Amino acid sequence: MHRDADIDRRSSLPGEHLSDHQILDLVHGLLDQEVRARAVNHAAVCPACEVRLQEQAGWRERLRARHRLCTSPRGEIVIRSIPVSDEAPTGPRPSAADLWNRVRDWWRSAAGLRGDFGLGLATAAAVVVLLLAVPLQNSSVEEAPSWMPVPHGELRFRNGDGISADPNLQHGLEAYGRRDLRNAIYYLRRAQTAGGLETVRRIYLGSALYRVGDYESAIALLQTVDLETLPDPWGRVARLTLHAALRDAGRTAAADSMGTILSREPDQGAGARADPALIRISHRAEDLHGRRAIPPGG
Amino acid sequence: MRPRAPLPPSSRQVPAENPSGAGNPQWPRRLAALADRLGKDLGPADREAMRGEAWLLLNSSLSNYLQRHAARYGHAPREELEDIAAEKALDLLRRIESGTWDLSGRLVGEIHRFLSQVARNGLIDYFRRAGREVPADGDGRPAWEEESRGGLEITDPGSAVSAPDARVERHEFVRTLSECSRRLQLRSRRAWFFRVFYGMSTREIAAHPDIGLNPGHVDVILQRARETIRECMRSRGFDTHEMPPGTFVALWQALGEAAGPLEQGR
Repeated sequence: MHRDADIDRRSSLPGEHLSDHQILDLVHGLLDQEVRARAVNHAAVCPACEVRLQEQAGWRERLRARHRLCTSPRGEIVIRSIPVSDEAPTGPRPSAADLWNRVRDWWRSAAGLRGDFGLGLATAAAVVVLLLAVPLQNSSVEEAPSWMPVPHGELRFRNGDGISADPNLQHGLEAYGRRDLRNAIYYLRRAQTAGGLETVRRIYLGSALYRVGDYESAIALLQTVDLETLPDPWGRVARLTLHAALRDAGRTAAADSMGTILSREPDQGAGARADPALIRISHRAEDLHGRRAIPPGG
Repeated sequence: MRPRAPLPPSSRQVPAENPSGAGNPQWPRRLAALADRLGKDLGPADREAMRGEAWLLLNSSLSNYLQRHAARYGHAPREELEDIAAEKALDLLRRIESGTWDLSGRLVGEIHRFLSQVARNGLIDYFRRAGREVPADGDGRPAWEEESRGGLEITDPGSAVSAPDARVERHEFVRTLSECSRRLQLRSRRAWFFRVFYGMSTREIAAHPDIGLNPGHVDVILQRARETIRECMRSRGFDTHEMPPGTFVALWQALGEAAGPLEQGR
């Protein structure tokens, strides 16, 4: 690092406040020992500079606590953030329109992808419209995973070619909504789907299989889905379900590894505010042929 | 904390346009050096460390610029400024890694101007989304020019201390509190420090990479730390409700030293 003798001398003079740059350098450890010592000595006797140093240092530590840089399966840098407050989330539940917007945005970016991404996620132009009143529940790693959001109201399936989806998918989701797991599994196993609808089929079927105790089948199924990129609450519930299946199947190491990551995820309780700093996942329009989703800890 | 990844000597340093002049910050140079390395082949651990450091530098500097611009263009809630800084920092980091933002050969002043402009544009976009009128540029002077003056009147720091005996008492308080805090294990001391001096929530403390506990455990640690320090200070005749100037710097310095040489850079 280049030393600036004139600046060093100025910083050591009584009465010379630290600039924002110097404080930034000090907080991020970019000053050499002698310059740092002078800056610290000044801040120790200058309340104004001490306050600014405290603010900058606190900002840095809060950033380190709240945000994690990760790489999505598509190789793009994303931020994962935690909620700030220790208080329970308050405020209105996200509306069906909010949830639909999340699904729509996710599908729009997925529709630009080509190639077989494990499930053919990127090839389908199918759009699932779910009118939901979602019973969002707090699901911590220690608790049992929630049910997937219960669809009621009208379920409509359509894709860009105007071809109706396999009715077995709809029957399976309706059965799941009634908690009729036996029929849900029966229909979801038989549904012929592709692309995004296949994703839906797998996460609901995986949840149903877990709930009947078929942990290994649930694991095998959920591990083929890119759970990280699913919008919440589906993504969160699916990840918790996979974690629970790993745990209950006795795969302790994999479950512990996944549990550590999940315990740091934002808790999407009922009424969670739509925080723009929450998981942002963007998909690049590129060929993902042959890449298989690798869930965290799986 | 992961040790800072060493950077090899590079010929593509950010030149110092006025090495002996005022305002010779190091962070733009560090950012440029990190950008240079991130554009190359790196091991996953090194990339993670450098990426994290670059993002912190970007976020911190953008935050400073945002606060300055907000002071001139109009108030914005703190949470919005935080979001803008996080979003812009992520975008710039992605551009660094993709090579679309090349810092090699950039002067320090260029980096300042660019980041200040990014912050300003982010703030103006926020005002427009919020349906607020976008004010005209203030006095026409770029925000980054203010930083070289520190934005504060120069005063004799000695004037902050009223009398010699008050100075002695403050010094004793700080020394005693430092000693009392050393009774705590490092992680507990850090958690207590984060709460007292940064006002971090239990969740934030728990999620901090240097803590790594669940929130319930953090609450227990904090409770015990408060009791330990309170009892220790009381036994020496001090009250912990009021902390005089100089307390933060002393404890911050001591915490950095206790963490070891790898974290001295913090």
